[in-house]
Amino acid sequence: MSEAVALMPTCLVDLVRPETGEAAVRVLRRAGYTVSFPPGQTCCGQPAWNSGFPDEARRVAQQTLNALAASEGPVVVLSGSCASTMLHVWPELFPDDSRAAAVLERVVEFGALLAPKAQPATPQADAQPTAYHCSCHQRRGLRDTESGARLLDALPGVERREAAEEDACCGFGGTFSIKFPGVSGAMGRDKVRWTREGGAETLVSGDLGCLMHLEGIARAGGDPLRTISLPELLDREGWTP
Amino acid sequence: MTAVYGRDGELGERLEKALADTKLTVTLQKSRRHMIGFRGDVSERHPDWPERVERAARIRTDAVARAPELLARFEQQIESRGGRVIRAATPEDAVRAVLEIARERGVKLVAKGKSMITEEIELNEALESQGVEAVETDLGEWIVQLAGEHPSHLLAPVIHRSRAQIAEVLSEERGETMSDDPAEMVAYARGRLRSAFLDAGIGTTGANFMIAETGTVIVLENEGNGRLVSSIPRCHVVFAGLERVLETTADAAFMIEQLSLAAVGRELPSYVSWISGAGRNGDDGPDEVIVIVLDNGREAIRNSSEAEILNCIRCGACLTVCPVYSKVGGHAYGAVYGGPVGSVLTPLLAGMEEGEGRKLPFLSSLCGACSDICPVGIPLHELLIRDRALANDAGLAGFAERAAWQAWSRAWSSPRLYRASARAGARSGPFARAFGPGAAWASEREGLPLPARRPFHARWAELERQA
Repeated sequence: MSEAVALMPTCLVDLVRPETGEAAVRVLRRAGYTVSFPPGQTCCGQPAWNSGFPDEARRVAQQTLNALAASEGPVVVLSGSCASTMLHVWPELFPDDSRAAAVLERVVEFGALLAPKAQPATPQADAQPTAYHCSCHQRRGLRDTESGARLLDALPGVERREAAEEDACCGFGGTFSIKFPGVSGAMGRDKVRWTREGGAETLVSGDLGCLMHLEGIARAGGDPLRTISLPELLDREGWTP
Repeated sequence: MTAVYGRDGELGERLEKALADTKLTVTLQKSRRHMIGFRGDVSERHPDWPERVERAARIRTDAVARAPELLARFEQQIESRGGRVIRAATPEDAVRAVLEIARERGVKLVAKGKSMITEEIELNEALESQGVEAVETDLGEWIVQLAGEHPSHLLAPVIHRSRAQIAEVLSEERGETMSDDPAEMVAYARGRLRSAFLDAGIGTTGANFMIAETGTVIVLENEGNGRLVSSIPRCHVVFAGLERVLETTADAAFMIEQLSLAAVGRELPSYVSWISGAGRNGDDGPDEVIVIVLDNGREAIRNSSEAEILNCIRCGACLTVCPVYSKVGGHAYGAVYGGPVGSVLTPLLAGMEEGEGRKLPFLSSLCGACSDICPVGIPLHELLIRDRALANDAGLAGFAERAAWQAWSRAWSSPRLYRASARAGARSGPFARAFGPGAAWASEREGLPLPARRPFHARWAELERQA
């Protein structure tokens, strides 16, 4: 009997990069999970919350909470940032709500669910030099800098390279990226440079916001750095536990 | 009106100017890396760092909550040993008090130790307008003063200038070209500043802490100038925000260590001055010690939901480690207090109702590095978000922005409207590219991420069949 998980692709994956969600489903199935997609979920509310609109955030989060409450098994979130918002902000949005607390007990970020099952592999001769970008909310919100790296290390086709200044923010920051594009862009260019200094030719992240920002920065600078989401990388490399 | 904010015009222009200054970034990122390095060493030497942060937070939260009572005790104690306390509700009150002290004593020269409060009340400008010369004696502050600038960091006022750029300022002051050899520059400054210590009628300092049970002012510094200005001039004037108070000497001893560890990675700074009143019976020390305790909006913050920001001990770590600060430097904020703590504090002090200060809470990617490094455990990135909401409520968010978020929340709290918005988004690609957020995105990045033709939720049925 395989374990049931409920997928929360997040609004960004759902609407902008559905391929990331499809890859996640395939990877989870190969890892032995039965995947459900709780209907009615929309967004965790982070965009409004971080912009200083808590009431609007609550209303949207309530919808997603209702959808997830009806599901079973771990709620697998395809973003460290959204998982962190759920775990840290939802208790403020829904105080004394036992249903919310029960959902939050099941919340786990995609990489964090799978990393304990990952076994280190020896990189092949033609392994791709690849850096893992740990989003700030994965790092400081979920206190998890290990999962992504551990999963990369389980792929023979990947040789993991540390970026310089690994713990520096990439400058995405949600609406920050469009409220202060100049500062955000400058931070992103640093991040791309530091990633390159570490020798990586591919950049992978579990957070699509950071990844699309860095992808756009690299392209605008004529840098051939390739970007790929963590689920798509694991899918492409055919990873199984 | 207070100068907490609003010094150099438009925020956007300042950011642009700062981003064009590549030397600035190199200096600031070096300093960021240095701090991350020594903080690692601190954590190794003090494996109980998380518990220390919790203890510091408890001490500060308690002291801020009881500030009126503790200040009364402080006042009583220091006055019993010849000190005097003046309460200033506003910067104007504080300035008026100092000018009167100077006039009564016929003082023409004031030697200043480092103090951000005197920046907040614009003391130098006020003194000069009355013909009283003010000389900054902290090396960094002196250079900033000579250059006609303001400090760009709570702790390292001249960090925005490279060594060569500092040599330029000193060369101009000296009237001949100086090398950028630090030893030579320091020797020159020492010679020039010596007379200020000896000739000043008033010496001023800030206060890192005020101890209620003993009536003691604590001044921490690394150059010795704070010790000199608080002991040689006949009158010592201390400037302190009302939140600087602590209850006990034991609390102070712990907090001194915590502040120093956070700021420079050492258990103690080079100088710790404990000042508990005027000099007596031939002691070294001034005839008078006057402590000016400034409110300027702090009491209102203390009684609000944002009181936690008053726990700050001004170590400057959140500035140094901030990726935004290290990209644009302190002057870009256009406020006395920059960086994460300044972005939280400035609009709370200056008021959310108007002014550019209330934009500062938005000048953050919310990466949380500030909250992580804070030695008193202030969740700065959470306070930034709360400030954003306060600013929106006070009118920063216009009708259109508010309406947009409301429409968004209505649509995305209904599965049907959410799916409809996905379809509409997929059709509006070209518009998104040309206008508003899309254009802002594209100004720095190639390839605007556009809504997919078939979102994940539309693909699910097929995925389910594949299972």
